[in-house]
Amino acid sequence: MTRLIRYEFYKLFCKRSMLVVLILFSVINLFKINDEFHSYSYLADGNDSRSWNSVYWQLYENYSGEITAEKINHLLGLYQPLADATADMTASTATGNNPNTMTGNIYSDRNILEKYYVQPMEYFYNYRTYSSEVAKKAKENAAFYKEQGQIYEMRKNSVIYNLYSGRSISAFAYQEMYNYYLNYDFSNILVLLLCLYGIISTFVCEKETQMDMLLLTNPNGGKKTTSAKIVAVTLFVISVVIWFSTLDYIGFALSFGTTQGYNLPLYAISNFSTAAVNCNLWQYVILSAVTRTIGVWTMSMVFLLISMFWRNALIPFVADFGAALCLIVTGASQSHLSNVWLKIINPYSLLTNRVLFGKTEFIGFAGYPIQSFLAAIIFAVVVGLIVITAMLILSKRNYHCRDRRIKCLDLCTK
Amino acid sequence: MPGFVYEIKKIMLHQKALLYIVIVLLFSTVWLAVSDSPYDNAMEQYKSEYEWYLEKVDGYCTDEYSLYLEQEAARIADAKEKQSNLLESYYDGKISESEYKKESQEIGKILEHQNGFEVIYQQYLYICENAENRYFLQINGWMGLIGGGTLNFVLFFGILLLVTPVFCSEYSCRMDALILTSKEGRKSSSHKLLIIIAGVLLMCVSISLIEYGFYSLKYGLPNGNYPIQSLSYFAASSKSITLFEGYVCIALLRLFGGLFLANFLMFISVVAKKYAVTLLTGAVSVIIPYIGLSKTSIYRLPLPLPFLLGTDFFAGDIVSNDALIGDEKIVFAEIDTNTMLILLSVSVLLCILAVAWILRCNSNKWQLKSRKRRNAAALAIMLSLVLTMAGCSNNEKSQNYVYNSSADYDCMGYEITQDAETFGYYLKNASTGETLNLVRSPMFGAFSDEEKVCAFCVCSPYLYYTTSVTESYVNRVGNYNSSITKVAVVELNLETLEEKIVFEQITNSGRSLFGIDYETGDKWKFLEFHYAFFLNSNSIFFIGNDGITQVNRSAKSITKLDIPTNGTISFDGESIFYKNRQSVLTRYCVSSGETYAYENIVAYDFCIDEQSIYYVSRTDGNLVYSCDKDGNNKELIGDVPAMLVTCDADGIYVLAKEDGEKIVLNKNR
Repeated sequence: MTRLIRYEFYKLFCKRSMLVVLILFSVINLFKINDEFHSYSYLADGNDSRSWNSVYWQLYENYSGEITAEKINHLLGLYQPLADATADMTASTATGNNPNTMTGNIYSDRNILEKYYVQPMEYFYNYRTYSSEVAKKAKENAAFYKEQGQIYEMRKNSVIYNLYSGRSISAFAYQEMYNYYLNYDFSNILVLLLCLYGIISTFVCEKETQMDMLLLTNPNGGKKTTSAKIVAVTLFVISVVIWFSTLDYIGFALSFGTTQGYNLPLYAISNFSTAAVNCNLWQYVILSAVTRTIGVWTMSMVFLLISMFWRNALIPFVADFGAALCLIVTGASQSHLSNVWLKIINPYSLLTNRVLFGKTEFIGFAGYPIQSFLAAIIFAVVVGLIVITAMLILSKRNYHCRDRRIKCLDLCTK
Repeated sequence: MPGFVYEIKKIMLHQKALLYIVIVLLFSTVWLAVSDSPYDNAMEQYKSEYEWYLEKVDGYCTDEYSLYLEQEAARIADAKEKQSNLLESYYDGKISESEYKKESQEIGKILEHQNGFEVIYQQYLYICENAENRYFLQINGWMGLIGGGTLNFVLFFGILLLVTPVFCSEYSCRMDALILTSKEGRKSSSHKLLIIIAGVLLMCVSISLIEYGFYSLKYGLPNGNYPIQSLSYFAASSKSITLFEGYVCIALLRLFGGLFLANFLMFISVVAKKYAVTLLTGAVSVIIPYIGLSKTSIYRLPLPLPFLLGTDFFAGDIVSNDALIGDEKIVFAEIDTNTMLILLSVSVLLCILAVAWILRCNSNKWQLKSRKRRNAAALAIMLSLVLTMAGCSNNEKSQNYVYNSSADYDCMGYEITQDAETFGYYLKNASTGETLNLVRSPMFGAFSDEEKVCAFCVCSPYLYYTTSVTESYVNRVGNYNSSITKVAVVELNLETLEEKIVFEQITNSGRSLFGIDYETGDKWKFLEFHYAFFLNSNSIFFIGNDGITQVNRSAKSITKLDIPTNGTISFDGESIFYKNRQSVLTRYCVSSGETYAYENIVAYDFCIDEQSIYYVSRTDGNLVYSCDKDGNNKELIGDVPAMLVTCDADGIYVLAKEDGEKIVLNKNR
């Protein structure tokens, strides 16, 4: 069986066109990531001594690491005079080589400090208070619902309490790269297109050459081949997602020029303030890749099932592509809304998993609260397994061969 | 010639091109009808009033028109003030009824079209920025027709389905070699090209005509000879073309885009000879630039995509000011005519080269041994995935429900209080004094000031409240629609304190998906400005300064009700009670849409309970009266002149006019 899987993998995915597409998509992805940096980051203004990039990293030495009262006072000592001097908007707006400024202009100095140091540090510093407030409210709610006899609400609030109590951000670090990394969706489309291309010919290529009939005459044909194809596709999907997840991370690290902040908790990114998990950013990168793999795998299995019934790639490609676009558009447009079920049943949520991990949301199952990301993973796996079962049931069998075997067995027993 | 007929038969019938064309056209029409919403909702809502003004100021904004509009604005403001004074004077007995009627008739004439004036005045403000090339006209039709700027996916899929099998089917069964050995070998490919070009032409032209017909019927497409800059989408455009010319140009560009894509697909299919590669290349050539590149870059690439989009060839520069560093950032740079012509020329050249290559590859020469052709067997159409975007509606019938906008909330023993420091809302148990957070989610408002509670409505045992939440993701200039505001109606069961969202809607008209900005119309903008609301099992009614908007809970359709909201609004589950512009108490039945004015009740203030109406009568010295809901059984219940009257289950509360004292009257007296 292992050999069969290996052959199927080589046959389906180790081809020149696949390699070309993979390289092309990887290059496009790296360009896009670089474009993200230049479009969105204010630190993409070069290495001039008065550029924001240079000033930021000069100051970084002073404020990175554990947040202390001394660092906060030092930062406010630098920021407050600038804020006061620019409050009435009468300071000079001339940009040049004002020797008393860091970036050449007093407004620019205030803005870089405010955006990159004061606001994040204020958020980091206050996070403990905010989260303890949430934990306190959750505890009160849990006690209240316990009195009311509402077990589900009590359990839900207990989970929230456990999740939020003890949350704090003790160290300051650069987190802009991770903010954009976690909001980056472009590679998901590339992954889906690549998987679609790989998967679409899994069954179709043999049908186009009528090889499918010939395969049935082989002892390893029929269900065994189908199983091998499913395993090969699974391996292919895992490889593609791991490749692009790694490429995304490396691309962002190279474009932004740093991986600083990997040790910050996930909720240090302000869009993840109500994150559903307590983990560090580097752990989340891995978690995200795993979740993404499950989402792509489920979608791929559905693609595979659709392609089973056709003799050429035209209809399955258009149907799969159309279905994927529908899932993407509905997933993206529903991602901001509070209907948790729509996020759970759409496997695309697992690809842009910030919609699941970024918010603490629950669904009730037999009186137990299940977090939305867990429910989405379970749902996707179940759907994937059902689709695999359907493929195995629907795959062609060599009835003639089986009948002959039965006859042989009958003869032997006689 | 028979060869051409056979090719038509093969492509149109065996390869189902005809069926795909019909499906594409049908689907386009249905999608258009389902997804369209007017760009300017108020213009559609007050169409007749707007048209009344448009007749007077149609076209170029002359000094005369400007003067007229400015004078009209002053006249309307003046009339509004006069109306209010007149009403006061009449009810205070300073003027007679005939005088009042005469004057109010004159004022009524001025205010008759005031809603339409608001719309045309907004348009006037836009025109004033550059009066030379911005004209007064109805924009909804033209905005729908040419102001979209998004890719027509149905057409894209249609072209994929139509074009891909033309050569790939021959290659998949090795028929290509057989064809090349025949006399008509080379002709076969040119026939194919002609048929596909005709098919794509048919699809593109039909879609353009369907769109024209749809918008023409739905909104009307008047004044096609006005400059394209009259639409805000093309505000900064430097091209001197009219709206109709714009439509024709965009349609022609889209047609060329379709042909370009078809040629590109055929070229790839001839080179790669495989379905999967052809389809992937076609999809990648359109989708990847569409979501991966900025609009400015897209419109400078010799690819089918910019022509399939078309619209932005005629749009002007879009410049945004970066508040943080003070720089101006070009979000979209206008494509000048020369660039467009160069791009078009390069694309035409590429198309010619592709056609030449296709014909060359199918030239008649000896090739490898042929095989017997086998018919492809794809016979059925796939079922599409239908994802219903379920609205969170609750169809339970509310019982014995009375809403008074002026009354305090009777929350089954709870009192709603607000913290002066945090502005958070709490439920205070009136008997025990225990306080609970109103919003049951512990995370709500904890990390953001942009999460707030807006309004309340009690319908025992439920307390409904609305929340407004603004979320932003990527906050650099150039990605405007990266923040969204959503308004939700939350149902809190006061017995169990369980909550659930019964209605939720994103209010922004501009959205962004993978960096593709698109407009959804300003249909839901009113939600951001509501300050109160009430609901029944079918609808939610949001009260804002400019009126009440009824939202159907399941269909999510909206209706603007012509109900002034400057006084008390009451609702008994079936009818809305309000003071009309003459302060006459009026009832609007939400199911039938009928309005009934209680001619004998001129109210200063009023409230209702399940059986009765309590009101401060303007015509009876501001004394408090009660009557049945049909207006009969008028009865004096308070002999002190009053300003306000409210009620709850226990009593009637009157604010005395003279000393501001709050008097409690017993309902069962």
